[in-house]
Amino acid sequence: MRHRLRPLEIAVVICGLGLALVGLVSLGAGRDQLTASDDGSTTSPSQPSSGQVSVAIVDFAFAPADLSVTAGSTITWTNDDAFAHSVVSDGDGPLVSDDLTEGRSYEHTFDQPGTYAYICGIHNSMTGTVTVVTP
Amino acid sequence: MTASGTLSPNSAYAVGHLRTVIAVLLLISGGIHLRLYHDGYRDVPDIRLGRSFLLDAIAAGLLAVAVMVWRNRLTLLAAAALSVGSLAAFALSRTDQGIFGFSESGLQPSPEATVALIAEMAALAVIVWLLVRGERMMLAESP
Repeated sequence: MRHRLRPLEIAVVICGLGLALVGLVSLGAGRDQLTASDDGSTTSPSQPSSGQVSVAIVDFAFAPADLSVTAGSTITWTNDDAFAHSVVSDGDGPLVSDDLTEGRSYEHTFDQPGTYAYICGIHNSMTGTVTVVTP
Repeated sequence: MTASGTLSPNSAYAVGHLRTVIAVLLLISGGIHLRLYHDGYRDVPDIRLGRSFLLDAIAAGLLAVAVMVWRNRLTLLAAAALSVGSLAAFALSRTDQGIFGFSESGLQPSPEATVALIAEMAALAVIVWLLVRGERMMLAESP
């Protein structure tokens, strides 16, 4: 069954082809980037940090995800992603940020030793842990 | 619709353009998925999530073309399947287990999630209408 395409329909067809083409090119580029960057290694907490400590929110993950600090330290989370994230305690806990759009930060001072698990309230697959030790 | 059950000329004209509407809605949804992929979803730790966004965009582009060029039921059904799949994936990503280990809450990212949802639901509604009521008119429209 033949149908003569009108100009608007031709424009839609061109856009569709363009979208598919850009997608296919992106797919190829993505494969090129699949190198040994994800070797499964994790950064383990080493010496506890103290004072002002920064955690980046980038690529849908907290970096570093696991952190050890001394009591009295202040941790600042800064969202470097283009999408909103938040920092909230996993269960009961002191962390409760607003939604952080790109570039916004949230900070909290940990006075009590303990282990504080937290997640992104928007993407709960994003997890992190702060371990607070006595100085 | 006339008393005899056939569509009036104005309605027939509108029905003839519904495939264009479906194609545009597919392009909107696919374009949003492509943009989200480039804006950061490609960096989600499980690469399958980003890939699924990309494949959604590619499929939407190809189906937008197919819906316009091949005016048969199969292309409509394929477009419906993509819309249903996208909506199902969205719903799955709002559960605790998520999709590919990734979960998201509410209508985030905003406003992309809302726009894509509306486009996919609208596309599905138009496709169902075309399959159920408008197909006879589509056939009559063809030379």
